[in-house]
Amino acid sequence: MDFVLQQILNALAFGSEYALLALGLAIVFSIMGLVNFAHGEIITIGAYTMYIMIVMGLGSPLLVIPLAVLAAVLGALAFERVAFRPVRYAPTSTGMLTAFGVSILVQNAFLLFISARPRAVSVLGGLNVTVWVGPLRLQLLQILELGVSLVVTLGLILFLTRSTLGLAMRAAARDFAMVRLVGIRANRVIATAFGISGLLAGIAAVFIVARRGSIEPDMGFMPVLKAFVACVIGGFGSLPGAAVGGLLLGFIEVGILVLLPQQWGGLTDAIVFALIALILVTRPQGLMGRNVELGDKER
Amino acid sequence: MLSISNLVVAYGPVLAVRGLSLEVFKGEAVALIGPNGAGKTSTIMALAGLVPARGDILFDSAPINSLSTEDRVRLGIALCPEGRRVFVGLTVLENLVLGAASQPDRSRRKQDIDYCFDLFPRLAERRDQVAGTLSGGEQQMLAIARALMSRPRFLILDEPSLGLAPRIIEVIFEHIAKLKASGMTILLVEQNVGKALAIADRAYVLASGSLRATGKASDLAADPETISAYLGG
Repeated sequence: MDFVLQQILNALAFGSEYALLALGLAIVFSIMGLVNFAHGEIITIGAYTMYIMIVMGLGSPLLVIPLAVLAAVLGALAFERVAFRPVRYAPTSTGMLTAFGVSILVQNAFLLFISARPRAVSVLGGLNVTVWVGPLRLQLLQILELGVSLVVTLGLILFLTRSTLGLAMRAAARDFAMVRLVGIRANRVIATAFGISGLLAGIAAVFIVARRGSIEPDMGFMPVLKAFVACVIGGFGSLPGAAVGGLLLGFIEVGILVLLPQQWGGLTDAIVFALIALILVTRPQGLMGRNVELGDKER
Repeated sequence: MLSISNLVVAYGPVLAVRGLSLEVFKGEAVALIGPNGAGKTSTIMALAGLVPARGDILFDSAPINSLSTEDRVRLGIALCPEGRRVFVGLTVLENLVLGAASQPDRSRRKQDIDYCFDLFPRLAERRDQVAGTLSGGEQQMLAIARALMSRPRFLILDEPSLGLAPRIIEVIFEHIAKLKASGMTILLVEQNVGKALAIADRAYVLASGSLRATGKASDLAADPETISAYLGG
C-alpha cells in the first residue's frame, strides 16, 4: 500500500513538471500557432543563471530561485522580441525553424562560454531530503513540486478567467484578428503568453536542477520533448489538455517503470510512445482538443 | 469624417479593390453594396488595417494608413465583422468587457454595458451565457454591442444580415436604424440591397473591385437599371 502511494506521488510529481512545461508550450501555441521548440532553452537559461550566481558567490537558495525564474521570464520575452516577432506573420514552418535556430544558438552559447560538460549545481540539494508522513517515506522535492504546480495552475486559471488580459488571451486563441479589432494590442497579448511560458519553465527549471544536481547545455531537450508529447496527448493548443496530458504522461511513465520487469527497463520509452499512438488513433485531436471550427465563408 | 481615395487592395497578383474612392460624412449612414466578390469586405479590411492597401485613407482629415488595427480602434473606428466573430468561448458579459479593452477609463464600462443591455434586452437576459451557444441573431446583436463598447464615432457593419432568418433581419435592421437615429456615423456593407438602401442616406455600388454607381440611396433604389446591372436583383 505504501509502495503504491509512493509511486502515485512519484507520478504526480513528474506529471506536474510535464504539465508546467506543456502549459507553457500550449499557451504560446494557442495564440501564435507556434510550436516553440526553444522552450527547453528557457529552462536552460534558468538553470545556468543558478550556476552563474553560485560562481559569483551568491549561492543562497532564497536568492538563486527567484532570480532563476526571473531570468527564464526575461529569456522568454527576449526570444519573442528578437526572434519570433519578425516572423510572426510568416508561415508556420518559418516559426518552427526559427525556434530550432534559437535553440541551437542558446545551447552553443552556453557550450562556448561556460562548458560543454555538465557542471554541478548543488545549492538546491537540500530539497532532496526524505520526510516521513506517518508510515510514508516521501521526497520533500516531490511534495513541493506537486504543491507549487497546483498553486501556479490555479493562479493561471484565475488570470485567464478574471482579468481582461486573460480573457483576451483566451479569445485570441480562437480569433486573434478579432481581438485586435476590439483594440487589444497584439504585442501585449503575445508578450504575455511568452512571459507566462517563461515563468512556468523557470519554475520547472528549479525542480529539474534540484533533482539532477547538475546543468549542461542540452538539458532542455528531454523536458521539452516530454512537454510536446503531453500537449499532443491532451490536444495541441488546449490548456486543460496540456495539464491533463502532462499528468497522464507522468502516470504512464511511472506506471510502466513499476510494472515492467527490470530487464525490460530499456523498453519504457517504446511502450510509452506505443500507448500514446493508441490514444491518438482513437482520438486524433488529442483528449481535449477540438476540431477547428470553420466559418461559413472559409478562406 | 472618412475619406478614401484610390484604394487598391491586392492579394498577390489578384486585385480585389481597384482604385476605390469613397466618403462618409459625420452623422451619415452610407451603404456599400455589390455582388459577392465585389471587394466590399476587402475595402473594410483595409479600413481596419488588417490587409495591406495602397491609396489614402483619411479619418477626421488625418491619414491613418500607417496606423495599426489597434490604434485605429482607439481613434474611434469600430468594425463589426462579417460572420459576427463573437468570442465563442466567453460569456456575453466577457465579450462586452473585451469590447471595452481600448477604453482606458474603466469607470465608464458599467454604464456602457448597461447601455448595450438597454439597446439589446435579449443580451441582458443571456449575460452569463457562453456566446457560442447564442442564436445567430443574438450573436449579431452581441457583435454590434461589442463594437459599441469601444465608444466608436464611426461604426462599420459588415454583412449584418448574413445567414439570418428574415424575421431576425428585421430586428437587426431596426436596431441599426436606432443607432443611426442616435447620431452614429455608419458604413454598412450589405448584400441585402433593399434593406441597405432603405436605411442608408447614400450608397456606393461596387462590382469587380471598382465603383459602378453612387448617389442618394433613395435615387439608387428607384433606379432598377443600376440594381439589375450590378446586383442581379
